[in-house]
Amino acid sequence: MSTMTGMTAVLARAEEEPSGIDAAVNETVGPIADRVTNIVFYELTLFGVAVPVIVVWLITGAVFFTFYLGFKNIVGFRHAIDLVRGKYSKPEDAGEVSHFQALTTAVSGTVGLGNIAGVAVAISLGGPGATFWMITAGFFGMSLKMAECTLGVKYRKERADGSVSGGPMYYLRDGIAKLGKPGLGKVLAVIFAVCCIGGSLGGGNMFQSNQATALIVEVTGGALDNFRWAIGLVFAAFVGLVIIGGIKSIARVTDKVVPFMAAIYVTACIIVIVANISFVPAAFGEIVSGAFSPEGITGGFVGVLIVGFQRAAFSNEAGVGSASIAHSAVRTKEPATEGFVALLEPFIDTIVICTMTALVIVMTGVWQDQTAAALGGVALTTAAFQTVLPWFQYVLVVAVVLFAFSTMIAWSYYGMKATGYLFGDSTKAENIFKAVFCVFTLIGAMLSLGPVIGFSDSMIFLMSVPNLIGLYLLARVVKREVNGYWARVKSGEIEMVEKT
Amino acid sequence: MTSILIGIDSSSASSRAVALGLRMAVATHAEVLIVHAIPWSPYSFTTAEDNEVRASERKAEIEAATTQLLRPTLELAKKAGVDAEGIARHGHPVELLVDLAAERGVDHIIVGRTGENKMKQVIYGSIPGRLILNAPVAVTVVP
Repeated sequence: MSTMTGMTAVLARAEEEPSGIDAAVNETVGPIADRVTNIVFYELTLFGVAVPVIVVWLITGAVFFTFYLGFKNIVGFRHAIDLVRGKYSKPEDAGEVSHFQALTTAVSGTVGLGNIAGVAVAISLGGPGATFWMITAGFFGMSLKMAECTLGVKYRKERADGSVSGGPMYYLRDGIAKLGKPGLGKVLAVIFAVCCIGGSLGGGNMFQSNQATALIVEVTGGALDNFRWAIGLVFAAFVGLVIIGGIKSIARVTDKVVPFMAAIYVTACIIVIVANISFVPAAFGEIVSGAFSPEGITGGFVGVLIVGFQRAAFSNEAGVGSASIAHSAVRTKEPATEGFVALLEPFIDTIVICTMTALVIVMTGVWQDQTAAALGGVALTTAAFQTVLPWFQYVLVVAVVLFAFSTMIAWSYYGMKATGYLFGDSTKAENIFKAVFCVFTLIGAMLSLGPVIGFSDSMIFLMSVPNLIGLYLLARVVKREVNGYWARVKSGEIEMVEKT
Repeated sequence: MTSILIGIDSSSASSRAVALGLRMAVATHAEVLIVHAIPWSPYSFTTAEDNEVRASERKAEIEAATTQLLRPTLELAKKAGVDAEGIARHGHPVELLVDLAAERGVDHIIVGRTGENKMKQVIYGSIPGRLILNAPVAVTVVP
């Protein structure tokens, strides 16, 4: 597990011997998390470098769908933006979930710590070159996201009361049943749902509360280091208020503030970039040269590539299937429209926001500074911003806490839907899941980062196994939907709605 | 045949607008289009749970607007002997009235002067105010 141990070493800062309750939790949960990680990240040795099979699995799927769907992530990009702008929405459908709303809901689940902390992890492990491979993976990931969201809408279930549920569980079960293999479909759907529950507890919850807590401890100068459980308790309480207490106002407020924070974050990135404008060409140079001939990176070229791909996949979740659950609620008669809209998600998440973070870290040179690089994760990103905007760590804390919170809420929904699928929409099962979710928020805050990141990665990546098998089996259906729709857009059969 | 669009909500000014609109319709033998806008924006931020039940909530909102506002108003029109049609649709009130006025080619828009809070009026301008600035036809605002 070179990647994992390497990551643990880099993030050692967060591992200063916790004591008391925190330590007890670490000792019990830590080894279990490590074992799961070892299984999921089974490595093959290629060209003398240990390569996690699961990362190859994801990137192969992304490249396959990019070619299979004819590079719709490039040719359909403009159309995707027009759809989000409502240029194809009929006035009679006003009041239904718009493409914009489906997209922003899904994005609020994806844009999170992966964009701030994940990029820093990638650069501290793989150097600036990792950025190049993150962007590449984001580019190919667009097509994968398109495929899973098209299917998500096509096979969603509309209940008698008009509420809708969609996502991989449904297309795996119903889509594959239509291919004459109902048994296989059911098995894949169940495996997916189980992994989705794990992913929602891991990457969607523990990792988020862990990193948000770590940053709060960091900013307060370590004074709260022995009180991680208290911070965790506060997070768990707020999460509980929203998902168990049904206090929608908190979720609504977060959902309104998050885009605002994202705007502030990107603006801050631009400020730092402009302040160091003369380093931009050099930074891009380092990113490109580091991608192909990295110096002093474990595993060389392949090592960097794997680090970049892995962080990108964790950040934009393409192929994981999670976003398909959020995108399925949109109002559209054409499943492919949501596929086009969904391809914007990896673009926003990975190609725009991750690249911004990467540029800030690379240009300010903090990643080369041994002490700063040893911080890893969100602390490295903070150090990079500090060089230009000294007060920025306080803004970053707020941003990180809000991103983490909105991601937790989004993933609690994914986990709840998976639970609902497994237990026939039983309210009791869903409530038990919600309670467990809150407990994991607390555990995440108390654990050290090593086991948390391992477990989180494992569970999220595991979701991609049944999901991608299903996507390959249903590839023809996706192609028929997407190309059929695209042909009608090109022929003018589907026209923009006249806006006066 | 001339036609009059009456924009309605639950305010008392709105009832006076309806009364005036119907009197004018009777006098000019005009047909009337009664519109209620359910405030909604496709660009608002929603949670996944909101989205899941959106379709049924939308239906319920249209149902409520129809039974509580449109139907009673259409009754009034019928009593006055005016040909009337009602529409309840989601959207921004000003945009919806402007779009429908253009689409249906109405000759006149009548609305009540609704009581929005002062702060909102200062920032965005009042709904009748913006309607006057954007409408393709004459607008009458009833106090």
